[in-house]
Amino acid sequence: MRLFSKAGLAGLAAGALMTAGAATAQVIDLEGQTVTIIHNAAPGGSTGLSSQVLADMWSQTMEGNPTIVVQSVEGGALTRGIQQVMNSRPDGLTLGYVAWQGTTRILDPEELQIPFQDFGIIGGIGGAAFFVHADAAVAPDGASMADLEHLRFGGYSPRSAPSMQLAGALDLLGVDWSFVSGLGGDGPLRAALERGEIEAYPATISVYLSDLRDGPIAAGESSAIFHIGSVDANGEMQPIPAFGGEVPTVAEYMTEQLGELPSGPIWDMIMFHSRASAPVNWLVVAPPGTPEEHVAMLRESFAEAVQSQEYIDAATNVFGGEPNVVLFEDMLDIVNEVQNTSEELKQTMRDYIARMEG
Amino acid sequence: MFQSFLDGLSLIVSWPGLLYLMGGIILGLWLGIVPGLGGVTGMVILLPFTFGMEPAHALAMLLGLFAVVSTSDTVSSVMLGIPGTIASQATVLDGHQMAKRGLPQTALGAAFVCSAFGGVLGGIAMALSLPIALWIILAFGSPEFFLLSLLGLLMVGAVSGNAVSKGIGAAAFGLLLSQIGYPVSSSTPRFWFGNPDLLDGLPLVPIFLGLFGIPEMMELAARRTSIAHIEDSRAENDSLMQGLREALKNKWLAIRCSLLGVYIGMLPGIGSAVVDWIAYGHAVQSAKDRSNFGKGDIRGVIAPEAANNAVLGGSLIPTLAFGIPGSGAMAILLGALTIHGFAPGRNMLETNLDVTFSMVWTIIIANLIGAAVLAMWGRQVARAAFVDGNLVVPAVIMFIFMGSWLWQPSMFTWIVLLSVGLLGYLMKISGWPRPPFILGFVLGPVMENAMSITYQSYTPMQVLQRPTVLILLAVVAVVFYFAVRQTRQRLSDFNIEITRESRGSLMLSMLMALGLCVLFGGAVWMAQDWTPLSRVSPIFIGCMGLLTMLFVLGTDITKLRHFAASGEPGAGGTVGTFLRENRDEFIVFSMIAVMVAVTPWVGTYVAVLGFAASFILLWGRYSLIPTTAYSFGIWLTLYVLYDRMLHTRFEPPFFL
Repeated sequence: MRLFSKAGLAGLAAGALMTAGAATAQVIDLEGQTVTIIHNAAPGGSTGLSSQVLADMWSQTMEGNPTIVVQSVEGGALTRGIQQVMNSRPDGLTLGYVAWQGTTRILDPEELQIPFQDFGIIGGIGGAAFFVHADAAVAPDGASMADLEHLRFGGYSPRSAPSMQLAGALDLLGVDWSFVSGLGGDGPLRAALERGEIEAYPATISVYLSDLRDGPIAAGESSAIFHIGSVDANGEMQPIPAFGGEVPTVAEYMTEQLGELPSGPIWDMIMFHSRASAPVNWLVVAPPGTPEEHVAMLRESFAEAVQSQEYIDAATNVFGGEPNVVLFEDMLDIVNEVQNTSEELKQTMRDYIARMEG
Repeated sequence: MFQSFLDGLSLIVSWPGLLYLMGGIILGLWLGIVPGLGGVTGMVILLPFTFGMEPAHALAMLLGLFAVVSTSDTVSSVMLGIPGTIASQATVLDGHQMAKRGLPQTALGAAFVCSAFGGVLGGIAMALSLPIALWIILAFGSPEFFLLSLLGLLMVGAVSGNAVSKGIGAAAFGLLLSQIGYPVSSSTPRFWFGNPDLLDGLPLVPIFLGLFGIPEMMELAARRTSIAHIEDSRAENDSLMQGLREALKNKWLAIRCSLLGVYIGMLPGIGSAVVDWIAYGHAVQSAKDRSNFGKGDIRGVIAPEAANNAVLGGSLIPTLAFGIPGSGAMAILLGALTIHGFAPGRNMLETNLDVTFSMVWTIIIANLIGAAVLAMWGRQVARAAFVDGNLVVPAVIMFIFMGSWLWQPSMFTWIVLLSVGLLGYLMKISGWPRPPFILGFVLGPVMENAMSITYQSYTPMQVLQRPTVLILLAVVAVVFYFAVRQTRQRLSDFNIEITRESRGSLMLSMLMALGLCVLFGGAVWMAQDWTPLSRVSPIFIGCMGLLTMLFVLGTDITKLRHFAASGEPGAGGTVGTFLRENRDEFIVFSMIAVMVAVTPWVGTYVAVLGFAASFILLWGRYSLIPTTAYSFGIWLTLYVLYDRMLHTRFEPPFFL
């Protein structure tokens, strides 16, 4: 018993020293340590796979070359994993790779809001550019979607940004629409399209490149209407190179259909999601309180890792196209923009959600 | 196509493909035996190692692992009365009763044979179904899914024994709990009470482990015997060969249930979570003599075991043909395919057909090898039935709690597990069948999703013009008719929960019914202001639940009056006797509850070790040396398995 007490006290003292060390040290020595990257989705999906790809590469560039393992902490509508990183000790041994859904998460009740700016932001990864995949009858042979009286499109939830953008685009084109929720992922959505349960849906670039482009789209069974492009520093939408110029951006499509680029709250909402949601699916963070110099080392080693050809090749396998790498400065801008979203824009999004819920 | 079939075989048997397959099988067998681990855990562990492997080898290892989990999970179901994985819940009912009667080898023998048979048939059915796979998937839209889920729910009658009204009540309770969190059609979460842990609904793993595992351990501890508590050390005719003979005797049941497994496996979201119950229900419905179900009927082992192994073959079809993963394991497999450059879709059925057939071969070979290996160990495994129960309980409690923690590392998971464990025990002693609760809980979201999509996508006329809908409606009507007829004729004269009806059990049953009345009423009241698609299900479930509870109360009151009217002063016992009879079980439950309660303060290690040591020392009355050795074993498992291998984040003590 006496021995146990001594061992316990020794353990306590060691723990206290380690904690104190973490608080004062600048770059934490990670040599021989195991760093855990927590992600907030189910194991095995694109979040789990892409975090593993990052872990493999990052362990080679991070100072001390620690072993990096990936752990799934799902639940709470993605909040549990985020909270787990938020509450982790800033000892360098825990990092977050979190699907953040920032542009719609700001609509959540107060108790579910996440102060993302409190994290030690490292960067972001985007891997899912979206395009509108429609039944051939919707816009045959390049005919305008604006001629449609009604379009029934599907998605997982009214809160998903690509679904909200498609609804907004249809409003701008003057097309009446209805939304079918509960269809999650490219597979179920495509099956629903082929069954005739929906007429269009936002699909990922991954299935466009791997299957749809050379399959049903080439065969004329379905068509790619427009894609959500990236937004440059001037606030203008640019095409995603992986589409190879075959599919117009939503901005190009609207300009062609309406004779000019739209403006107003609906277009602002579409552009907001394009700027802040489309480029980043996963936010890479350190727990709040992590020493600034250590975070700087993480930012540098992250940039080195994700810009390496080895990472790009491996991530391309997972995403079906090249990942979109967002480094610290740009990521910080996105987080700040999302946190400072105007009430007017939030209300526009709430109105769309209400309409999509029916 | 035949050439691709042969090419698929050569991908598997060529060196080192076979080595990877064997590695997967061995890991899978072990993961299935330990309650709470299962195939998904194994696939998550293995997945990163497969990134650099040849695609066929990677898929052989992952699928080999997953294919045999539903064979070895039988061991835990039969020996401990705890489902090794979600796919072997129904095996608990009769398999564990057989072990208690001293027939563990017979149960295991029949289970291994039927598992292998179901797995092989599943693989073959998958191969034969490939040419029509796309047609099948496209023929089953949301209206068909709704009707199929309804068909599954109709099995409530068959898995409720002679307590049908309580079974319907339990199913309604399961359905209501499945409504917690975000509905598919709305961004407003339901029944979450401001607790983010409830936003995604209640976790499934703690629910099935708690519902069956904790009550079983409470009873084993209270009994202070080994699992098999028979006078002679072993029933005379117990052997693996006897199990094989029983399986052959019921070969048509095995074939029917295997085919059931394949086609249920094709339906995303339904699959392994309920297939065993549906197969069990079919075994009950098709049997002439039902009196032994729930007491150790071999058909209650054969049916679910044949079906749950056949599911894999079926579930691969939508995964490969459309990229629709119907389960967590299929999502991981889809990830592995993506990493190795395969895109699900037509090319898996055309260009990469050899890889698809290599998966068929993997399923067949893995099932045969897995069952053979387990059969070789069967005699040794069966000896566990005669180990002192006091040595079994703390280890199993650790596996149940850590298994749940692994899925969602939070105290909320343990609280759910503990609460459901208590609920499971109360249901058991008050004669409320537990299987319908699971059926309702699993099928609730599938039904609601299908109903919601049907409502949004079809007009009523469009639904009724679908030939598959009309066929399924006819099937639902026939099944419903027979279910009602059986209930009216009291043909289901067997107990799912072996409970002696007494004043105490009836009073407890009435208390539960009253509690559920409040719950159902409250749910209906809360749902009033939600969007139409969000409120339809909870209001319907709540109203149906309320009506059923009133009926249950009425029948329980009538039974209580029978005791009074019998004129015998001791008829039905007293509430005091009932409480005394269950006192030890509640003491054991309190010890488990204390373990959970102190965890946030002292941390996972100390809490689990403390429980194990105090149980062995105080309850098992072992001396200090065996207690220390046992506790060391528990610590070693926590450290090596959960900490180092599975990287589980333990709850730290408050001072760290």
